[in-house]
Formats: sequence, structure tokens, C-alpha cells
Amino acid sequence: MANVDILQGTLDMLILRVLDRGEMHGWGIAERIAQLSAKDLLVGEGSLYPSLYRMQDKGWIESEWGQSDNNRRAKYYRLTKAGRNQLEAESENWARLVSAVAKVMASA
Amino acid sequence: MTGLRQILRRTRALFQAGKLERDMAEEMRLHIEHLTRENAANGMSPDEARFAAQLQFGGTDQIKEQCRDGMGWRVIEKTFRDLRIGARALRKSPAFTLVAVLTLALCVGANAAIFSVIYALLLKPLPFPAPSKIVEIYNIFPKAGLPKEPCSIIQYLEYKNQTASYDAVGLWGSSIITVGDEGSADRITEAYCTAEMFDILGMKPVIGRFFTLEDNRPGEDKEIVLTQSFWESHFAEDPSVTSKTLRVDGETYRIIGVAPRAIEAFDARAKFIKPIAWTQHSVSQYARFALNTPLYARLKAGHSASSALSEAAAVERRYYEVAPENMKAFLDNAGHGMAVVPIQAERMRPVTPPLLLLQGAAVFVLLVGCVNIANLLLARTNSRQHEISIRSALGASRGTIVFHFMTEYLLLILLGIGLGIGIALGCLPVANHFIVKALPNALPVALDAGALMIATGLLVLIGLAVGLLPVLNILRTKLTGGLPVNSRGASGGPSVRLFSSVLVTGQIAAALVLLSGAGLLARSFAKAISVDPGFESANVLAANIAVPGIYRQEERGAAFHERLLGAISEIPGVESAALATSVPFRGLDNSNPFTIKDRTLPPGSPQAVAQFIGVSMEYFRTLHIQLLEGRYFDQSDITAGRNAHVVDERFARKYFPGRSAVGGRFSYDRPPGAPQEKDSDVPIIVGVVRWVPHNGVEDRSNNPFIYYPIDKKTQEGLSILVRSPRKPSDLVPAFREKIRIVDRSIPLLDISTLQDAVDGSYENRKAIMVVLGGFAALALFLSAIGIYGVLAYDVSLRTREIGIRGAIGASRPQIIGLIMRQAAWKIAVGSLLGLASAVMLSRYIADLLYELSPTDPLAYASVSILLVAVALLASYLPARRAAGIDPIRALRTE
Repeated sequence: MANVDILQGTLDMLILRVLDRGEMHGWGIAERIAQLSAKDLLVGEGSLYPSLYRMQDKGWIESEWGQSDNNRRAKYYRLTKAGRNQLEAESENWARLVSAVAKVMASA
Repeated sequence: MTGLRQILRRTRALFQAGKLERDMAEEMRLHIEHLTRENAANGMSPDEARFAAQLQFGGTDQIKEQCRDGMGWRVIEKTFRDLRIGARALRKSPAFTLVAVLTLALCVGANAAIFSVIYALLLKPLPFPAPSKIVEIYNIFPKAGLPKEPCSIIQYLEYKNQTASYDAVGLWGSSIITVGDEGSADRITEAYCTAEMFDILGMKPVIGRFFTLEDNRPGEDKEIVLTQSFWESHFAEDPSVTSKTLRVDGETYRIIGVAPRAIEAFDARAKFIKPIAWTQHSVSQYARFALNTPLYARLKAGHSASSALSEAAAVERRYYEVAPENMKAFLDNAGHGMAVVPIQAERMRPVTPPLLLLQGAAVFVLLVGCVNIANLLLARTNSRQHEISIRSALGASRGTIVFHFMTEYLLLILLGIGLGIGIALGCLPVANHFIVKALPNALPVALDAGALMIATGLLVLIGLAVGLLPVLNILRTKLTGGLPVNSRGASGGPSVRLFSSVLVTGQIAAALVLLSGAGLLARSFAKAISVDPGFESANVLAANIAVPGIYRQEERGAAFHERLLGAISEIPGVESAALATSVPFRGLDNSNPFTIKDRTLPPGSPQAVAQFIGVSMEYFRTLHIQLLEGRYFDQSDITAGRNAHVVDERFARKYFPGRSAVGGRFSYDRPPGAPQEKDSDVPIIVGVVRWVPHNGVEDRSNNPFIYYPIDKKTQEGLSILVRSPRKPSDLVPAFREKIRIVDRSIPLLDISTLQDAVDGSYENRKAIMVVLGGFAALALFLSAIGIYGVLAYDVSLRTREIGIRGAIGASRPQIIGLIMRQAAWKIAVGSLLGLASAVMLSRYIADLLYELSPTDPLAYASVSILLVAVALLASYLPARRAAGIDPIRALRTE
């Protein structure tokens, strides 16, 4: 399994991106990231929850208890306005970083 | 903004800590459940599935901890925890906590109280627009012993019309008058001014209007403006007050407006303000130096008090150029000049030196106190080396340990500061009692939030700096050196002990500076109160009355005085009674220049000035003022039509050196060109009496006193002096009744014994001495604790060493000597430093000393002996304990 290490800031961005599509619970977020990255990115619970709590503290996301599809209790996370702004800023940053790194890697 | 919201969120989270924890646990449990289900769906047995899920999820506790860190409220939680632990640690050593908190509280209380007063009086701007632009203009006659004389109407007009420095120039004076009618008469202070004063102070009326320059004319001046407090107290804030009138001194005045409260910051006593009106007589050329009303002005933008002063000098020079010869001579001999001073500095001049002195002293006390706290904390931190080692062994980082200790010390400092501010609050009413005496025109001092914040901020900074010392020491020590076998062995390295010694030496020096100041003030107080007042103050009752206008016509005055004295003498037990224009030691303000007849002073000698007191014939006998030469004036002078005067011994010595003053003649200086007095009106000296310090012993003008018969000139305010062996409380009702019989409209005021008047004149000097003495005593006590603490700690560290010395045969005196030698060094160096600093600083106290040199050897010697004795006693106690150490036990326990 080609597991790639992700930096904390990048993980935050990925979570924000996932939540941008709609509210979701903790394990759903982890599964979603794994699924979207074709299992290249596996988010461990050990970094998922601290990241969620940190972003709640910063006011990017908020949470609420609710019922999951199969009628189970789960805590749902949702983007706030500040979180959406943060996601926008980080996406832009990320795009610039990727293209810059790619240029360097291609030409050097 | 995010920062603020984050803090709010965190604070909320803190209060919902339980719920948050439960949520977190539940969320993770559900996550694991989900994983278990998935594993089971993939074909694992239930047990296997659960185990695998838990393995996959990882350590829930670590994750939770990371989540808590992520939420950021760890910092707050940790602070709270450290505060809790700190409070517990402080509770566990109550003696240390009590000593530290009390030391801090006393030092902080002293500083906060005095700083509040300084802030309110000296630093806080007066509540007027651009208050620094408001100046007072006054005359000075240094060579005649008159440091400050107000201005005249003529000067007001000249400064108003001939200067370019001011936006406005105005007069403002005050006097005590009677308001209301017979039976309901009340004595209050009125202010009178020219209309420009409202512009100078930048006031708008609360209701109604102010008067204008048109009203500063005779006939137009029957209008008054009330102050807001008088409006409240006497008119219940009646908005229609402007249609009412007020009876003042038997005349009816129309109320035209109410002045805002800010005006009371300018003149706290005035209840209402009326226009000054002047007659042609007041502006005649002879009246230029009829100096009786203070003059104020508002400086134009771009003009300073010093540029205005040079302009004032030019105005005076212009007058001087055209003045008659004898006026020129008077101005020269009296050293006439002008002063232009911003009002706040001018008003606060009497209290500025003592306040700054006391603040300086309070700072010294704070220094001494901080040394104790620093030493206490150093010792405490060192003795907890063991605890620090254990903490660090258990994985606490250096930062955690420092943070932990700082929280504990911060708690201590906050407790001390809180208590200290409480002490300061309690001191303010006492301070106000003395401030009102020294500054009758100033409003009482209230604790100012701004002042308190400045003071508290500074104190917390100082406190943190002090608390940081031992903590820095932790940072220097090796935490990882493992647990020392002997917890004390690792502590108190040579540098820490040296540092403590330096602190204690400095503390002794600071204490000695304070003690020297207190010693000087005490010596000078003793000198001041031992001055012979020249009369017998026991068994004399004094009171003031206001003389109604009808008795003030020249021919009726004498008869009124006779009736008054006759009535009072009828009171059983009254030995004698007298009238005077003032009560001794309560002060009088009636300086006049004069010339000795038939004896011209050499040219250029200072202008002769004396203070004049009107007294009735029985005055000297009532007060038991000793006659030195000649006789008192009596009935024979009246029959013979002699203008008999009595002078005091200083007058006789100064103006009739080597010969008798009796029979000598002098004349009041008259304005040049004024009609000459008849020869029979020229005062003749009939007697010389002992000197009486009517203005209190501290009157620095040194001008002599001249007594004239009071019947010659009646005035509005009169003092009655009654000698009787009866108790004052028995006498007062009879006294009141007699006055009422003479005329029921006469209010009897300020009744007190003469002894009270004398004591009252020393009250402020005594207060300064007592406060500084208190500071010095506190500093002495703190230094004693300081040196005791350092030596006791030292002895406890050296128990083993002393034990060995004892074991190999050192005698008790030898061990005591060993410890005392250490103390003696610190005491000797500290005392020498202290003495040198005290002598250097003594010039700041010189102004507050009464007839005492600021380098008075006796004062320095006595306080040095006191300090050394107390310090040696404080060091003897640990030395004795050292000598009592049992060698065997010392070696076994260590």
C-alpha cells in the first residue's frame, strides 16, 4: 500500500474539502479521503481527531450530534463561513505550491 | 477578532469541560464500534473484530490528550491547575505566606495611598479646557519677607490693557460672609470676580447665565451666580432659581445662573460668585499697591508663563519709571517683582515637597520590602530543590516548572497588592483631613481608577521582577543532575548567597536613609513644639463672630465692643475676656509697610514690614502675654487721644537696637501724595511684649507684630478670647447665650480652646513626621526580618559544618562570633552606605525642617545606633541557634 505521509496543514485542507460537500462524521471523513485518493492517503484516527478538534477551536468547523444513514448516533462536522474562506485560501496556496514544485521537479 | 472569539470559545469550553469530555469519549467509542462492525462484516469473529478495531484506532487516551491540546484550553486548564497547586502550597506554609503577603500589602498600601494623592493633586489636570494655560499673576517682595501678595484693581486693568500674552485677565477672590436673615443667618464663603474668569476657566452655565463686564460696576453688581452644590443644598436644584433672590450681608442679590461643578475644582469653598465692582477710589493712583485680590489669566496659544513674566516685568518697569521717588524707594527696598505661574503648580506648592518626600520614602519602603520578598522566595525555591528534581525526573519540562513557580508567586503578589490597595483606600480619608487643612481650596482626593491602574501595573511588574529572580535561579541549576542525596546540599550555591548578602546590605542602607529622614523630622518637630508661644494657652476659649454691618460704623464700634465684653464677663467663672482680629496660631494676614519716625534707615536697607493685630485692652492680660517694657494701652490713652500701640520684642530689637522702643514713633506708609496724618494720629509705642507666633512657629517672614487698639477700626470678623478655669463644655452654652442677648443675628463660629489652635498649627508637621516615622519603623522592622532570615537560612544550610566545628572543639562564643561576624559585615557596609546616601539626599528634606540643619549629627547618630542595635539583635538570634546545635545530632541527621 503506497501510503503517503500528509502534513498537518494538508490534512486540515483535505478535511475542509471533504466537508465542503456536506456535513459528515469522523469515520466518514477518513473513509471519504481514503476513497477519493484511491487508498493512497490513509488518515489515521490519531491525527484525524486532533485535527478536527483544533479546527473547531479555530472556528473553521462546528459539530452537532445526529443520526447516521443506518440510524446510528454520530457527531456530524460542518464547515463554517470562516472554514470556507480558509479552504479557499488553502486551495489557492496548494495549487500554486503544486505547480511551483512541479516546475522545479520538471526542469531541474 | 478571531482571537477574541477563540478566547470566548475556550472559556465556554472550560465551563463545559465535563460535557466536552463525555462527547469526546462517546465519539471515539462510536468510531471504534463502526470499525468493529466493518471488521465483523469482513468475516472476523466478534472478539477479533473488536480487538482489531481497537488496534486500528490506536490509544484513545493519547488521542484525547492531543485533541485537548488542539483545542488550546490546555493552557487555561494548566494555569488553573497551577493556581490551585500554588494556593495549596501557600496554605501549607502559612507563616511564609503571611509574612510575604503582609510585607507586600504594607509596601503597596503606602505607595498606592501616596501615589493616589499625588496623582489627584499634582498630576491629574484640573477640569478646565487647556488647564496648563491658566496662570496666576502675583507680586513678590522678597526683601520685605512677603513671598506672595495678590494684585490690585489697577494692576488688573494694566495687565488687561497693556499686555499681549493673554486671552483674558481676571480677578477672583473670596471671603466669608453672612447670608440669610436674622435668626437663620449662616456663614459661608463667597467668591467675587470679574466676568473674564468664566472665559479663563472655560465655563458654561448649567442654567441661567453668567454676569458680564457690564456687571462689574457699582450699582450693577447685585447679581450672583450659584455653585452647583449650593444650588443643590440650598435650593434643591430648583430650575426656577433664576427668578429668586438671596440676602447676602443684609443686601438683596438677584440669582442669575448656576455654575458647573468644575468651578469647585478652582475654589472648593465658594458657594456663590458675585461680580467685583470698584469705585473711583480703588483705581486712584495711590491704590496700585492695595493688594487684595488674586489675579488670573489665560495664556494665548504660543505664549508661555516665562514669556508672560518678562512682559509683566515690563509693565511694572513702566510704572516704576513714572512713580514718585518714595514709591521707587519702597519698591527697591522691598525687592518688588512679579510672578506668573501655572495655577496647578502654584496651588499645590505648599504640599508638593512633603508629598514628594513621602512618595520617595514609600518607594524606599517598597525596595526594602521587595528585598525581603526576593530573599524569602529565593530561600523557598532553593529549599524546594528536592521537589524540583522529582518533578523533572517525572518528566516536567523546565518551562512547566518555571510556569508552576511563577503562578504561585503571582498568586502571592496579587494577594499582597489586593490587600495593599484595601489599605490605601482606608488611608485616604485620613489623608484628606490633612489635605483640606493645607489646601482649603482643593477638593478632597478620591481614589482614581487611572491612578490605581498605573500604580497596580507598576507594582505587578515590580512583583514579577522580584518573583522572576528565584525562577531564573531554577533555570540555571541543573535539573537533570539526579536526586541529590542531601536536599540542602544542592541549594544555596555561593552566588545565591552572595546575592542575598548584597540584597540585605542594600536593605540596611535603605532603612537607614528612611530612619535618618524620620530622625531629622522628629528632632525638628521637637524643636518646633518647644518654641515658647509667649502666652499661656491653657484655660482659654476662642471663638469667631461676624459683626453685623450696623456696628461697623466708626463711632459705634467701640460701644459694641464694650457691650460684647461686658456681657461675656458676666458669665460666672470668667476671669477675663478680650477681642482681637485673629486667634494666635490660627494665622492672620495683615502685613503693612511702615517707617520709623526720626530715624531713617540707611539707603537700600530692606523695607520695614510688620503684621498688624487689633486687640482690646484686656488682650495681653487675658492671654498672659508678658510685658517686657513700658505698659499695655489703657483708658488713659483714649482720654488723652493718644494713638498708643504695643510692639513685640522682635520689633524692638530690630528697629530700636540698643535703646528703648517705648516712646518711639512710626507711621504707616501712606501712598505718596496722600494727605499727611495729624501729629496726634502718629502711632506711639507705649509697651513692648513677648513675641507671639501668631502665624504658627513656622512663619518664615520673620516680620514682627504690632498691636493696635481694636476700637480704632472695627471689622467684620472678630475673635473673642475668654480665660476661665471652667471646662469648655460648661462654658460654651453660657457663652452662646450671652452673644444671643447682645444681638441674636450674630453667629458664633469656630469655637475651640486656644490649646487646640496651637496644636492644630502643628498638625500637618506632625502628620508628615508620623507617616515618615511609620515608614522608617516599617523599613527597620523589615530589615531586621531580612537580616534574620538570611542568617537563619545560612545557619540551617551550615548545620553540618557548624556541627563539625562543635565536634572538634569550637566553643559557643566562637560559633556565635562566626555567625555574628558575617552579620556585622553586612550591617557595617549597609550602615555606611545608608549614612552616605542619607546625607546626600538630605537636601530634599531641608525645606521641611524647622531650625535644624539637614546634617544634624545628633539625628544621624541616634538613628544609626538604633539601626545597628536592632540589626545586631536580629542576627544574634540565629547565631545563638547555631551555637545550640548539637554536634552529634547535626552529623547524624545530615
